[in-house]
Amino acid sequence: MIKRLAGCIRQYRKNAIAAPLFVTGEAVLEVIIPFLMAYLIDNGIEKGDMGYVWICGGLLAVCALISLFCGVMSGNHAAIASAGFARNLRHDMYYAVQEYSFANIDKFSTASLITRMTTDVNRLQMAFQMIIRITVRSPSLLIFSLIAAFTVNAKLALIFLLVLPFLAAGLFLITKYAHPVFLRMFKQYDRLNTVVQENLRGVRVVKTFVRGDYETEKFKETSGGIYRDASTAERLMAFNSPLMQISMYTCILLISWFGAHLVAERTGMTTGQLMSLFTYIQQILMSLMMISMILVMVTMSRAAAQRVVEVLDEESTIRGGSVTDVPDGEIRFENVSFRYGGKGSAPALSNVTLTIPSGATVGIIGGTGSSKSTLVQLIPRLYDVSEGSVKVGGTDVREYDLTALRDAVSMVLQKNVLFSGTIKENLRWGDPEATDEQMIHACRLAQADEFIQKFPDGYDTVLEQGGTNVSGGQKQRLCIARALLKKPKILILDDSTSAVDTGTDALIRKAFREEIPDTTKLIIAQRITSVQEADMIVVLEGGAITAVGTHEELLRDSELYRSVYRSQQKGGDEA
Amino acid sequence: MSAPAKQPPMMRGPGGRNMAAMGPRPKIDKRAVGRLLKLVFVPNWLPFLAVIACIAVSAIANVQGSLFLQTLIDDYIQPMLDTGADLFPELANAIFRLALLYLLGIASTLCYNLIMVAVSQRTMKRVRDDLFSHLQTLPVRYFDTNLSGDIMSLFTNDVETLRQTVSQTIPQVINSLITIVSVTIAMFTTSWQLTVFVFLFTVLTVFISKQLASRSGKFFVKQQQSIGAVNGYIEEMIQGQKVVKVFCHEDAAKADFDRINDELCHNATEAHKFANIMGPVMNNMGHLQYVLIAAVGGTLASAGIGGITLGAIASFLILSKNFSMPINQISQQINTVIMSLAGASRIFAAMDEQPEADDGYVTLVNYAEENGEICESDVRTGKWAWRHPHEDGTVTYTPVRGDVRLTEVDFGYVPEKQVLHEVSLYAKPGQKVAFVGATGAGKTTIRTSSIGFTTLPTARSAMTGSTSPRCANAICAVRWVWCCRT
Repeated sequence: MIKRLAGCIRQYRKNAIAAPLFVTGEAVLEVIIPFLMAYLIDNGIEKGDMGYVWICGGLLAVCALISLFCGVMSGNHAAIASAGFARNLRHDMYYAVQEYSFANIDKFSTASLITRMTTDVNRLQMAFQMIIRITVRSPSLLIFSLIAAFTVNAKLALIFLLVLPFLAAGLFLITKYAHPVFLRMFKQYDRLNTVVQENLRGVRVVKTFVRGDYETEKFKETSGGIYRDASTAERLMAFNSPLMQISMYTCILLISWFGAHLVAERTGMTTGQLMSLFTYIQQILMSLMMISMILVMVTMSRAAAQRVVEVLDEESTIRGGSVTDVPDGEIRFENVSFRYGGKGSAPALSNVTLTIPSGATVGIIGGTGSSKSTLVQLIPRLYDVSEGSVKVGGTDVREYDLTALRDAVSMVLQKNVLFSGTIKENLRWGDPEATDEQMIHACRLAQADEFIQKFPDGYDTVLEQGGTNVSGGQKQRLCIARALLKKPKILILDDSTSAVDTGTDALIRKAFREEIPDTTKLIIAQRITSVQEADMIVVLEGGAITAVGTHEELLRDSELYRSVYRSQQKGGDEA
Repeated sequence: MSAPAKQPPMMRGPGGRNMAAMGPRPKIDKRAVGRLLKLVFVPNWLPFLAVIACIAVSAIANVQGSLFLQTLIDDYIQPMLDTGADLFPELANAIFRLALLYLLGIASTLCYNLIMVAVSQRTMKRVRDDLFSHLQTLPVRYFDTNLSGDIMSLFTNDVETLRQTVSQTIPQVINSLITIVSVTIAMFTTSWQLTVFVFLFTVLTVFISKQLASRSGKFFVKQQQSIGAVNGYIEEMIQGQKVVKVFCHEDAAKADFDRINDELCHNATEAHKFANIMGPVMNNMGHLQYVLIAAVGGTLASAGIGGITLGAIASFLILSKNFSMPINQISQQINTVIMSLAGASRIFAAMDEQPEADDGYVTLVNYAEENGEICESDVRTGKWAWRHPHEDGTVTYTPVRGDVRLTEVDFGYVPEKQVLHEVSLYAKPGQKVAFVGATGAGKTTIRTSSIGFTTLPTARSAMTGSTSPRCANAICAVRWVWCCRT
């Protein structure tokens, strides 16, 4: 785990090494400066030797300046290294997520991915900065002081060694019990994020159903969970400083008692030495305190590190092949079965075999839950088949390079999403190099140009997140235009004109027929009028194809198709 | 449409617009300090009294410990060396008394640590809960104009910044203040001239630290904003991941992410750079102060000014060290404080968002009929009535029938673009009304305005009766009906 994380330091390695080096310089001076201060008092002030005061004082000032320099440099490098480390972590995680399949994303949930990329990374950043600044300094201070203490009086210094195991055991116990609580707390954070996210996304539903109070209660439950776990963890951590105090005070008391004996019994120990021992106690325990602080940080960040590494190490379930050329828009399903779950779960598609010639217009009709969307999502490999194969242009989709395949297959999803930004920026998703003329052309085909021109800002109109400031039908037409800009070999419309009035719907289909005759067009629709002129209509029922044919053939042969057609006719003909 | 000659670069996402809409100016709201303190202290004044008492005990125990060294040498070791008397029983006594004091000190430390955990966690929970319930009252527009991920960041990253301040900084500051006060008294009794000098030097130190703090502070605010922006971007992109995949937009999504990620990295680096420098600067200012006191004090003593003795200078030097230490500690905490103030400012900004105007006073209640009269009922009777209080204090009840009227409604989401023009509409109880129109004609707008998602600026919308309780829209509508005529 540590190796995996250390790999993210990369271009900041120099800073990550420089910081502790400068810190060591600072630590050395930190040992020298108190010596000089003692000399200044003992030999200068006490004896009234002003010349000595000036020399020693000057030396002290120089040391302080060097120490300042080291401190500033180490602070600087530590900041660069730790912020850079965090940057690389986020970068790697985000890139990893981009390679994820939907199965991978479902496993983590969006909210959890967000907490991992921000809150957890922040913790790691703080811990990392702490580690490169203090890990070097505290142990070196500890060792220097211990050596000094032993040279003064080895017997008295043994007291430190008595107290140390007690302290270490205490710190170990605290850390051991706190770690699982921290892990639990982070899970609660995920849950909190999920509740907030659901509410933000579904704010209209919450408001319509006046569920605000209920949602607040639900939120309070989650935040209560965080409250409980965080309190438990922090309460454990609160034992840290009393533990340090116990150790320090025990040392002081014991050294006072035994030290007094040693001095009073004239064993060669002086009062001055006793006083310096007290100084060392303070230094040793200070550095121990720092080490225990690092332990706390590491405990807290261990859980965060685990969660970050999980994201980095997640293997994408979909890998691309090597074929980069999609010859044409022919689609063949051969004995395709598909399950969302693992083996044994109910199949969403079973034994689908279907050939669609390049350039054909195909309508797909079926009730809700008949797996229409599932069928078409297999073509750009949003999911992989469980059995059988899907071939585009005569080659199995799994052999194509993912980018090549998805560039050739343009899909307007049922849950289409627009992103915050201008209309132009959204359209350029289809083709980053699209000129204004190309965009206007695509929008004309999708019957979107007319309403866009009516906006005060035209194509520069800013869309809110999810496109909430345009109507449902307008959103769908923008999504179609965006898909058209890809100039795909295969265009899939997954119920993408449901909110568009039938007149406009017909115009869009007419434009498709006339302007992109070579593109294979798959249209999933609820309305038969949307597909009746198609070259071929596929009727799906419960994940299986029950009929294929033209409108006339199906009217003659398919009972289901006929009944759907009649029920829609009764509602009134196309205007 | 006039095509601009040069295309703007492919930039989208939470760049400028959303951040401007959400965040405070890159400056800390001064009032946030007072608000934060009020938030922490007011509901917890009793625990805080206890905390102050505990900290005082703990600090006294600590100070007694350092003083004991002097006692040990002057009262026990030196007499024993000089006279050879056996003072060990008395020493044992003294050590035992100190041990008791220490125990008290340790217990106090544990106590105030535990209390602070409770206070800080309770405060965080309350901030989260308040924020969430406040969000529930905000108009839909707020959610449309702010990225969800950025709002989510308030609950995690910004609230989290408060924790350290409340649980560590506050006790630390109290502790430091107690120490500073006691040391100041001791310094004054030793030499007022040198004390004045120390104060002057402290002013200089504080001034420098303020310079550093204001620099890092600026970037801490930016850092919190950047975190929000990163959060917002990730949330939007992962939520729309299917579209990203279908359009092979991964590379562009990565490039945009890199941009805001680099921005966050830059702000974090700058913020922490100044914050990290603070410690060494303060420390070494302390060393310089030490040297200067020795020099000034020595000169004064040798010139015989102010009656300063050499012994006094020696003990004053030690005191001055004890004086600058807590000041250093406080100044090192400033960064934590700045960071959490940056977080708090964002939280307060969200808290200050105007809630949806709910001036309606007609409410929906369950009723039961008694002797042909409609009586309000606390239990679910399945029958609903509009409760309409009048200005003269009387209250009338009208059973819910499902009568909806829109009278001359004008509406636009933004003032420049009117969507509905003088729409009048009547839906009698039980009537089925269909809305037909081309896309973008305003069908959804009529529905949303009748349940009050959007406030109607210029018209009278009358809703009386309203639909059967099974239709949830109507139940909700009640809360927003702003003009009601019977």
